[in-house]
Amino acid sequence: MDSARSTPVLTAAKRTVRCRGFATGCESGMMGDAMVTSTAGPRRVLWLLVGLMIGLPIAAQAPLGLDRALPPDCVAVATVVAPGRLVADLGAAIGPVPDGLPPAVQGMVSAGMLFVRTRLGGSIERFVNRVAGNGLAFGVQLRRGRPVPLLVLAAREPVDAVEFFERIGAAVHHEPDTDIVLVSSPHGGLDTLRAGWRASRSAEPQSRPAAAPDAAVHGRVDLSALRDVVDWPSVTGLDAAGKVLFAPLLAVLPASAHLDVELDVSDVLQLTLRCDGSGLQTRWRGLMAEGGGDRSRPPLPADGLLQLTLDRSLTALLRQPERFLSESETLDVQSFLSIADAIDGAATSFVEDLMGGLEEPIVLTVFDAPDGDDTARSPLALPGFALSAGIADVRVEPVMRRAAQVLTLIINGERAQNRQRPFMVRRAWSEHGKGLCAEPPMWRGPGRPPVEDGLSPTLLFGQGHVVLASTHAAADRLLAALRESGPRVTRGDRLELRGPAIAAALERARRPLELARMLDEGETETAAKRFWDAAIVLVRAIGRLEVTADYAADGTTLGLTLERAR
Amino acid sequence: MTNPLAPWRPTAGDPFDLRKVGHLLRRAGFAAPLGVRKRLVRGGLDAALAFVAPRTAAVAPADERLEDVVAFGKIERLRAFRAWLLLESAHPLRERLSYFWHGHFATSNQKVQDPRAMAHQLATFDRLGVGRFDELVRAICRDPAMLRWLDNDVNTKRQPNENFARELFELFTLGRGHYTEVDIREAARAFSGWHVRDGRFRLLGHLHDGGSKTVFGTTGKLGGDDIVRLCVERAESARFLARKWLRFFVHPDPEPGEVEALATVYRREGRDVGATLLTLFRSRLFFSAPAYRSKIKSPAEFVIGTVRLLGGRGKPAHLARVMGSLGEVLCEPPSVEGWHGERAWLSPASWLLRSNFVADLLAGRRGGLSVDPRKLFGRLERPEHRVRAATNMLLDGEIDAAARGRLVELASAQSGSDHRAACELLHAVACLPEFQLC
Repeated sequence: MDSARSTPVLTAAKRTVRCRGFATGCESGMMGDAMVTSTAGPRRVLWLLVGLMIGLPIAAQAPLGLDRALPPDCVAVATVVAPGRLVADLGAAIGPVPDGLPPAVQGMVSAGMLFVRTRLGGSIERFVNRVAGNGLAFGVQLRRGRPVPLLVLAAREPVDAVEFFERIGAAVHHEPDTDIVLVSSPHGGLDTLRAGWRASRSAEPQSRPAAAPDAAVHGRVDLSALRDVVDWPSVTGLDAAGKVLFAPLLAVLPASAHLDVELDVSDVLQLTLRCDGSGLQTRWRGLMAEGGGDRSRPPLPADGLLQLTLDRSLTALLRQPERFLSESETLDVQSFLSIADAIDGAATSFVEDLMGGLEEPIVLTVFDAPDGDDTARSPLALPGFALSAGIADVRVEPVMRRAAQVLTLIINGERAQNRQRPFMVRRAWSEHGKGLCAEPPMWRGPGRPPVEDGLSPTLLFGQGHVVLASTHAAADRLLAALRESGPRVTRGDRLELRGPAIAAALERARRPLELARMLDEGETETAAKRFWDAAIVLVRAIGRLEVTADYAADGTTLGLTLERAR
Repeated sequence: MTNPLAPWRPTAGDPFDLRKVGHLLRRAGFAAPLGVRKRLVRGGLDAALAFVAPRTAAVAPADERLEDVVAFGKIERLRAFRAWLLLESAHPLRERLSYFWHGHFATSNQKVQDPRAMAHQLATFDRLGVGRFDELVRAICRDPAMLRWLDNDVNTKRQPNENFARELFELFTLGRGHYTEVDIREAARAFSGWHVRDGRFRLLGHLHDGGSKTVFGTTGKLGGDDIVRLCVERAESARFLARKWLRFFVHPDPEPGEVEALATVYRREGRDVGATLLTLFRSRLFFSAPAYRSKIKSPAEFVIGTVRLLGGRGKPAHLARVMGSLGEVLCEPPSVEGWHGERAWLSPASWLLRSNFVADLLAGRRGGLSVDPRKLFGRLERPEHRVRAATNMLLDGEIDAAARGRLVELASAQSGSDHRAACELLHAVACLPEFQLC
């Protein structure tokens, strides 16, 4: 969770949702709207009168009351306070369909929308307001290991809801009860719902714990029940990289009794998944650098594509690989260390002197390739990758410099065997930091330069950080951002993506990417072009995507924030 | 004695039919779907030859996409790209000849270790392969991949390296027995200093031996281009190429008279490869009975041909990998002599792999072949009709009675015209010995 950047967004989102609830008066306001707009025939007026008599008390309980109709052994339950409003908010947050989609894709989307609108008899929002305008509850019950979906709708127009389900056909069973419509796929589910619904009207309210009453959607998944029927992903089955990346997160699932789900929609879409289990209670805690606590990270500059920072310690892994990895993976690590320890001579330990001199965790920041003449560089212009960490011990600097020079020597030796000119190591210096940069040889061969022509591996020290980057520009831009706006406070795991910048990078490399589709997927040239046209437009439409994992002693929270580019 | 290359004329008893057009498309290209073959039968031989070698030769797709291919720096990408060209090219003869020249001027990336150089060499075949042979040889003598492959980039005035000169005579232009060791030594001096710098050909004057040499009895300050001229102008060169083309395009054991006739055409056409081969493709020899299905399909002919015959699409990267598993790793010939081909292509293991490849494609398990056998069979219900459709599709309808009978038995035992039954029948046809022949 990133307190410096994402908290204001989150707060604003929640505040908006709360305000909306008050303003519309979720229950009475909606019923009032229905009265005003319902000028149809006598049957509808009758429904409204009945609704007034029976629906108001129900609506007063809604939406939290609806879920009490669901059987207590449901493995998953979700309630929506105001489904119509949710649809409208979703449309506002992630819509409209982005401009620039290929005509074929645009046509498919339009046809799909038209089909849905025809099927629903109007806009999705209007339809949802009619059939579930006062809330809905959805549950999944397991019967002999098979999921049985159950749905309780608080309809504003129960007749419309009944007509809709009758149109769907015999596979879905439904039953109106005043302005409540009970729906289930197998018929037996209706009996359960009916009994639950009648009992709930006389029971104490809020028998089921409410995850987040102010969320647009909230739900709860019974993980302990689900574990009995679903094969759980095993952490030990992951390879070494998988364990480092995902073990602390995946280990939470077997340790959790339930998972709460919240969806907030305002200008941004925010999904929050919260488990009651904690990764800090498992052995994978040993892989975490800060144990979920606060730490600093460089800011993601405006021209950055993405940034990934995981609360992991490579030092901990390398010190005790046998604690986390399998026997063969441990041997691989030991083999690596036997070489790495020799890079700077026998007196230097890779783990203690080099990694130990850094403040983990390491942050990956990706920048777009610098502006330039596209025809003078490889058609596959790579972005710049920068790994950065704080410096814990200044004695690490000479160790890293020497290691970088030895590695360049090894690489140049390999290049010479392939009759390639060497990378030239030079000192790099700027107002933001200093270090070493290995510059590629000038391309004199036939055609456009190869991918490696866009690389200038760089090691820079500055602003209390060390940056190892694939290009000098990336390293310098990261240090410049640190100098200009200082580090940010963050904790847990965090991935931030900027859609427009990623789309621009894809656009720059699109011809080779098209060819890759043609060769790997067997697509025609037209289909490959269309694929990347659509992919680039969709990626560009994602203004910002943030995924976070927050580790605490009493639970683990996974968050996803999606902001549409405008 | 009749001229074996005299033009073949269709007659009522020997018409230009599905069998002949199928033969032409397999040898001058990489086969084509039944619909295309039927259309070409209606158009006649001229239309079929225009399909194989269209006069409005657009820019080779290889040229347009070359930079995108080499951008990845991976030889696997290049192999997949070549498989894509074989599948998609609008100029079948150009691709066929590029494939031929790749085996003739066999160069392996295992030694060159430079996918870009390999890609440029193959693009040279695309660009010049259908044109004059001497121009092609001159370009290959300057080709960075070839110069590295045959060590000419270490051939200097002080330390001549004969490897390139020897292969130029023996494998590229003349054949064994038509040159002396002295000719090789002198030619090696002529190519000294023909090196590669920064991925490009460079004639390094200080390493080149500019002195007088004598090759094939001609004396003077001969350079590399002079050696190429002396080679290609020799009568042995025309016979050498004619024999190789006859083996590749017609049948494995050409008669001396056939070789001489094609060599004469080649000289008459001014060493123009495309014009020579078009004469061959019009000839009675090409459509003679001994030529028909007389060669064993190479992995490329089998893999690409099967996909094209079925009118489907495949994933080129997967197809290139399959060709490799069948013994033909593009850009990695086993030696400087290229692939020996014919019987070397078939073994019990490769037979099984060929069968599995077709089964996988038809079942859509791998390779992304988007072909619907039910569409291919339409509403044919009777086993005899379904067998005829399958054999027309894959074998131009040419199959002996015994094999046809077994296929009808198989089709009769199948229930209805479902997808599985169609796949089984097509798979059975593709596993017949006849289908392994080109």
